[in-house]
Amino acid sequence: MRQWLYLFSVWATWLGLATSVLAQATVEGTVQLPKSTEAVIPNQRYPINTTKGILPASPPEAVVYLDGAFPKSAEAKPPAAQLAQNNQQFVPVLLPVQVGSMVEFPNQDEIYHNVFSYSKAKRFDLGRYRKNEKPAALVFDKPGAVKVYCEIHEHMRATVLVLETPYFTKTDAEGKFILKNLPTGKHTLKAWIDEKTIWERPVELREEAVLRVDFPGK
Amino acid sequence: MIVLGFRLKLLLAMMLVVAGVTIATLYVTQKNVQQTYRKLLDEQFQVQTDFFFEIREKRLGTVKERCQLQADSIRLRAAMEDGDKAVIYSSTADYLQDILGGSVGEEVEAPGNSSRLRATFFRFLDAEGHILPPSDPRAGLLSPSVEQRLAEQISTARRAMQAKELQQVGCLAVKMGDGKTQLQEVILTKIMAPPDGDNVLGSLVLGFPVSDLSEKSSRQTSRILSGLWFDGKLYSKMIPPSIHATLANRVTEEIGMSRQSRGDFTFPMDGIQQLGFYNLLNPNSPFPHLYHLCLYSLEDVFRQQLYLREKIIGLGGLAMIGGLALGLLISHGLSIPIRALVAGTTEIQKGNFQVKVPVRSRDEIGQLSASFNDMADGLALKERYRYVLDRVTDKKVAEELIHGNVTLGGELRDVSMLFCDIRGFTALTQNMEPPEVIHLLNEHMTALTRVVYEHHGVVDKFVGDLLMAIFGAPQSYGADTLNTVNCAIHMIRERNQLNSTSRYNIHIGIGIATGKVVAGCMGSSDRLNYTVLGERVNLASRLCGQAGAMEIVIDQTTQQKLTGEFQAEPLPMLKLKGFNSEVQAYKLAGAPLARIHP
Repeated sequence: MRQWLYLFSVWATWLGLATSVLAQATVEGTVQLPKSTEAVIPNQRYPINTTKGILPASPPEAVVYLDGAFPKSAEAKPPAAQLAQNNQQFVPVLLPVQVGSMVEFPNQDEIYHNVFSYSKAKRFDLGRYRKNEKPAALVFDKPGAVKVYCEIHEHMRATVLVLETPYFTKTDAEGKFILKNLPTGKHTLKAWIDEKTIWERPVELREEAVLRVDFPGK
Repeated sequence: MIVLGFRLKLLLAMMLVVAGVTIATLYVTQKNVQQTYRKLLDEQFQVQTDFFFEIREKRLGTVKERCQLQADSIRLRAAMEDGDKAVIYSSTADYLQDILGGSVGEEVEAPGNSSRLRATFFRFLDAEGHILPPSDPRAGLLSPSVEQRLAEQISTARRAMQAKELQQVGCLAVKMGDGKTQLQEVILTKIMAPPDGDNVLGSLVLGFPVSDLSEKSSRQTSRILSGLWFDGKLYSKMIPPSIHATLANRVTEEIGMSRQSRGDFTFPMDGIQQLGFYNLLNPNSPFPHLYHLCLYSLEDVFRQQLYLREKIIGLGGLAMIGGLALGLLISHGLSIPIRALVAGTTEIQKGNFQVKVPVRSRDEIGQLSASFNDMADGLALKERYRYVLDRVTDKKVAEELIHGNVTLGGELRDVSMLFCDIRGFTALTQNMEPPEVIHLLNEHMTALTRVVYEHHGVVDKFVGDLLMAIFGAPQSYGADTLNTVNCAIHMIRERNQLNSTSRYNIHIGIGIATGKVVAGCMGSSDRLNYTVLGERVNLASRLCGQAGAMEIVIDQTTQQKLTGEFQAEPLPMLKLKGFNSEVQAYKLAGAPLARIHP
């Protein structure tokens, strides 16, 4: 009988925890995105020689995430993210990953690219590699914004946003976002546009509730 | 003496002209030489300045490009965006390592070969222009005070840069480890993101020891002393260090005074004057002003000027001597005729109108001489007229006539008349030839006329053998009557004397009458004769006829005027033609000799 009780309490606790973890709160809203800049005319040291030309600069994007200290889940690590070089552009331009994620940088162009970064969060230089060569995948173990450049193509820029929280998503082209399966409780919702523009809103999440948050807000 | 004075004037004038021309020439040539030299040196200076830029471009041309490339590099810009100082410095040091390593405090002799060029230092500035302290020793570390000063200078220059400028080269003075201040050529390159955009991420600064123009090249001679002036100090290898301070101060003064970017001044060095040129090398630069300075010795100029001066003065001296000689010659040519003229004038002054001056030329002197001769002729003629006049008329009358005192018409005067004629003239000269008669008469009349003049008488006329003299007209000389009487006595004596010496033996008779007569010019205005008219005149004439040989007959009036020493014997009453009543006359006895002169 005592064993059952012990087991029941453990299960209850776990259930409670799990419930709190698995509680279904949702936040949705819109982030006001800055206007898209015009396509940059590159100042090339090396000539542009793709067959398809350069992709126009992507419209600005934002990452919305729930800031807070969350326990590390024992789930399997998230799948490796990819920051590809395609048509002399980084795809995507803004890549949010969780701390400890692995990121790959495949070269999908016929030409060389040399991906590097001097950011404090992650300093790396992958050297030059072509399409068929697979560079080492990197693990981003420090939170922060990592600015990624291509040494050859000066207009290629991307940012890897390394977040501690697992709850994040990118907005779409209009700035709309939905965050699901959020834990309940009081947290801070942040919207990351660029290094200098980070909006935040303290939120209280309820179970089964859908909270609407707009940035920058009223 | 006159000629000498004139000569002197001529010579002085000539010498003055020569001297004036010499001085003017001297002045003009001196100025010209100076100007030419200055222009020449100015051109040379320009060449030197161009040379400086050429050298600098040669040295730093490639380095500037590399700086620009480095500033454009994606890595550097990425690093600057992330603001990691260590990465910035180390990656740049890696990139530029072949031109780094110029030791601080040591100036590297790089003879035009830029591959051996070594930068003293490099630094980065942030977007606001503040220096990021270097972390890599390859960046060329300096002592803290020097670093701070450098930081200030670079920041000032960076702020002064125009927005559009991407790169600038200038000079800064950096105090090195050994205490000496060294000029550094500084390349300041902006780092933009993106490269053609407006966003300044920061700046890259590279410093090199400045190229001293002491580098030998085939174009440069060793005599040109050149240097750089920066912030009141002079940096130069060729100019002796002992005068750096004074020269620098001088240049500072000049720049302050003239407010121009280019100029020149004179400066003494080792006793030789130098011409210093200065030129602002970076007029619109954000860096402080850097002036190029060159000193050129003026020794050559002075030597040339001296040479010219000597030559000109020498030639001037020769010209003066030549002018003197020429002047003497000309004046001599003038002085001869002038002297002749002067002599001629003196002669005329003495009364010799026969003088003639030689006419040697057709110029003014010749004309003057000819005129002089004409004048002498004229004077001589006048003299002859006068002479003739005096002879033909009485001298005194002639004088009065010339002076214009006597006009047609007469005046009533108290006059004594004396008539003297030759006894038996007709019989005497009957058998004589006319020339002899004239000779006789001339001799006689000459002697007697002289006597008349002695006694202040005026010979009125000669009528054959008759001489008529008047005393008291045209003017009186005091005791006219007495004069007349004395004259008569003297005439007798004179004739007696002449009789003994002359060929002829002549006896005269004299008649004297005194009284009021009309005296004046009778006749027409074109042809007149000064004479007396009146009853008394007739009387004197008649009395003369009455006189015997060597006898003097006087009338009563005369007799009444006689003084004691004269003896007059009354004559019987005379019946004279033309007189109604008889006339009382007197015969004068021999006169006392003592009473001759008045």
